[in-house]
Amino acid sequence: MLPGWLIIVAAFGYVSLLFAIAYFADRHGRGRGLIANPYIYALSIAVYCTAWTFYGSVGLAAKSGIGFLPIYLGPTLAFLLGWIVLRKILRISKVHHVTSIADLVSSRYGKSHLLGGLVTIIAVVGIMPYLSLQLKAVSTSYNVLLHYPEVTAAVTPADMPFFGDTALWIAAMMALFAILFGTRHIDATEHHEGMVAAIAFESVVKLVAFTSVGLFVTYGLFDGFHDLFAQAAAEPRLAQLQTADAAGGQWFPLTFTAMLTIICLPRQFQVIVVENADESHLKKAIWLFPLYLLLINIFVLPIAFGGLLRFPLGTVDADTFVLALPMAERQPLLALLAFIGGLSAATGMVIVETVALSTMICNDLIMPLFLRFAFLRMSERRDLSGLLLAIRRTAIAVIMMLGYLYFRLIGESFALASIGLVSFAAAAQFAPAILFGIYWKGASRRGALTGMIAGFVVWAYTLLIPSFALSGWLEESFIENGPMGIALLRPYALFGLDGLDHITHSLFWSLLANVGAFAAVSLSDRQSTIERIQGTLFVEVFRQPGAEPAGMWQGAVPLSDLRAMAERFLGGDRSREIFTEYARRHRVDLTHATHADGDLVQFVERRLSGVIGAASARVMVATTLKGEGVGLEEIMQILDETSQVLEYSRQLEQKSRELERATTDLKAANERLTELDRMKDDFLSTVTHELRTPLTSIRSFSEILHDSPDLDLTERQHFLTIIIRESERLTRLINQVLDLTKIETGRMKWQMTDVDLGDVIDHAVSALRHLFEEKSIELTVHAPDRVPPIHGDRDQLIQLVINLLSNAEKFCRAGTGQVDVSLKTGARAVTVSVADNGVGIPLNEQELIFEKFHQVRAGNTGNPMGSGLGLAICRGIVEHLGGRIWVRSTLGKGATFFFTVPYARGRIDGSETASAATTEVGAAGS
Amino acid sequence: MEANGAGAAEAPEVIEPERETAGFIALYLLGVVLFSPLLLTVFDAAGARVAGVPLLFVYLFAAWAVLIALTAWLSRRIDDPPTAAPLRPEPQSDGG
Repeated sequence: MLPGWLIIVAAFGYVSLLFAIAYFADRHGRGRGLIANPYIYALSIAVYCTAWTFYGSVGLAAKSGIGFLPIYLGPTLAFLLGWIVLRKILRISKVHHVTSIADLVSSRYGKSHLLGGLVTIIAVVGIMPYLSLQLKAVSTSYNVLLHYPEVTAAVTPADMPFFGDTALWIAAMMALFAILFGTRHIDATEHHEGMVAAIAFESVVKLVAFTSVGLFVTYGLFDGFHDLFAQAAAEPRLAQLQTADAAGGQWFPLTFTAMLTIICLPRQFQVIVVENADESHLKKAIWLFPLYLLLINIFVLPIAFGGLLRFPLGTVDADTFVLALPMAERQPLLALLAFIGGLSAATGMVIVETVALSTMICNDLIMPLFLRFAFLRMSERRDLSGLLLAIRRTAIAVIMMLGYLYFRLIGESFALASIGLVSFAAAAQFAPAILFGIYWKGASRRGALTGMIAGFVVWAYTLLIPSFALSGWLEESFIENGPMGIALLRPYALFGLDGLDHITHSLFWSLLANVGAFAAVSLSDRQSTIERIQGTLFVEVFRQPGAEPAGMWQGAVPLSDLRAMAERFLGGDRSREIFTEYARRHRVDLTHATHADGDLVQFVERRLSGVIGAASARVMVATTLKGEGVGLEEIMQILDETSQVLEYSRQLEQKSRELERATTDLKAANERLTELDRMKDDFLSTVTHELRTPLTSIRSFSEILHDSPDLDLTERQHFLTIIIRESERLTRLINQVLDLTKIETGRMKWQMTDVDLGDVIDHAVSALRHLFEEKSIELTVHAPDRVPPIHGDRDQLIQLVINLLSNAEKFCRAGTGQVDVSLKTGARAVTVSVADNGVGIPLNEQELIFEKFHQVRAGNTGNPMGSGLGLAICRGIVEHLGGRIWVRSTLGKGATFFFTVPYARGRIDGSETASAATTEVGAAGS
Repeated sequence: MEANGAGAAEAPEVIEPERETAGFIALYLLGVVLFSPLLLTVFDAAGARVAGVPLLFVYLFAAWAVLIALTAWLSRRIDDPPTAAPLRPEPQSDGG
């Protein structure tokens, strides 16, 4: 009813459809948004779901209940950080034209060939079990389906003749597809639209097929979910599978590993990073892809329980339930659909994986070796693009062949999921190098190298080699007792760590060795210049938006050499395109240029690295341009030293500038101190001098009185009068000195109130009126009736006016003297002037008279007329009240002293009432 | 007081929008908690069923769905990066 030819026709029909889709997409999809959109992108990432998901998940669920879920929860968690971590990797890869995971690691750690090669080898060895899993799944499913409607245990392919083995033909077909659509262009960073379209289509097919089987089992075989789970719960064996215990201790380690590997698996890197057409597609993919995972997993448990309920224990392999259930129910079309779904899941994985691996093998393993050992011969070849494609195609074929061999030798002994997990553990070894690399500038090449080697060796020892032993290729005692009977080195219980499942055990030790060695070596290592440059460029990739970093190639390079080199690897057309692109972008005309600058060389190197990998491109360019100036390392070394010296001298310069500034400050302070000291000395000597004059006269007249008792009364009276006057003068002087000192040091107690200046003037004038009358000096006052109040100390203001008036009185001649006091209200302040018609003040003294002890010698007598402190005190008072004092004078025609005092605040127009003034006092007092 | 005004002038270009970054990290931590073995045992009550389906299964898929919904909601709030210069030449860009 379901003959073999029909299955084969269906399979070939399906694969032909894939070819058609890929071909169409390659032809017409380019730049049309048909392929380059977030939905196709998310579906292509779903290449994560392979035959392992399609068949193996059910097998795992039949053994451990929800234990199959971590493989899908891990990527879900990883994609929650997708916008942060994946976008960073995406951006880095675009800027640096990264073609594969090996290229990324090699480029990050100083474009190291060694690291690129190591990653490639680990990837190829590690992924081999995964590839063989796909072959096993497809060949098993074909053989099961062939026996329709009889459900039997799987036929072991080992019994079949080599060329009769379906797996071989399947492998060959897949390799052909990968070669046709995965190696169309030599620039590995270019998108394979056809391949992506085919994978996206396959993702839809496998989801539809799996869901169809799930719906059939749930609603066809059973009466919905509740019926199915209720029936399962009735059986104690199956009831146990509905608990969390069934998952065992693998839950956390598997979630963690799956989280890391979603980016570390070469094919996932290929679809997520290399095939990404636009960074913004990630925005939708970070939830679309987890949604896909959720959808394809909904029916895993129902199918697993359905199979366990339907088939007697042990008669049918749980890995084939998806196929066996429709067969047992005589649903040929559904069984065929399930087969196509499984085929779809397997081919998608195989195609992308081989393309990714072949790129790595070509760019990071073969090309570096060719360049190193046979460079001279390479340089003779005109066109290398053909050679590159040939290497990649051969690599695909070889990988498929190796996968098939692994399947024949080892694969039979294991369930699908456990084979896949071995590969996961291998891929996880890339995670430290990648994650440290993009977030920690200090991660060094030697650190990555040691970490990865340590992790890989531990992985091989605890997972790969024992699997050889289990398949009979090594003695079983190796596992049981350890090598040469050393129990401590048993591969499944290293250092006595027993009781864990093999995967968790291996993951623990390998990642411990990996991260430990990585961190330890990196921390104690000194990075080379190029490592530091690349490290900074990677970690800070978002700080250089879009811009390619400045070229490191110095000196002029003959343009013809550069063109010739590009042509050899890229072919003539592509090479010309690149130079045109550069000219267009940088707006330069290259047609007449003879030499290429550093930028252009850098540009070409980047493009070249898209074809042959970053490390190879660097060697190619370096070798081609040899002899043109100094090498990068030397330049960087020179630059490094120079910049160190510069930095040092800059610091020195800064230090000396600071010192200079400090010296200047000190000098100024010193000058000021000296000045103050001198002023103090001046003041003291002047005060002493001024005090001595009255003291001397008091003393001499007292001595006369003492020594001459026979002096007549009038004479005695006269002398005593002099003594009294001189004593008064002395008291006044001391008071003035004290006042001035108080004002200057700010210790004066000011009684600040609102003061009417007119009243102040009246008060001062009445105090001195008799003095003026004695000397017959005419004193007039001109002031308006109402004067707005000013803010000040009334007593001090009276003192101020008295000082000015007595000053005027001193310099006026008796009889003809005239002194006029007038008050004028201005916009902001009151101005008071005291004018006399005395001797006047010479121009050069008009500023000095306000200094302490400065005295204008009166007329020709030379006698000092006052203490020399009066005007100094005046200035102190006026300045304290916020005003100004000055003098105008013409020699021989008298002098006029002016001072201003500003109004009390808010009293500009002076129209406020008295009550308002009192409140103002209150406010001013606070 | 105004002396340090010049220091703030040279601020680096803001590339990563802080809000979304924090949001995604919070979601991730939520996911780690939701799927932690400890919470699984909480929902692993024997015989507890929702519409006939074991509570554990319902919980796992519901938590999963909620995380996806929250991610979708948060991703809609991301502004298109203004600095997304074309790193790759557009095939049909202007000829001039």
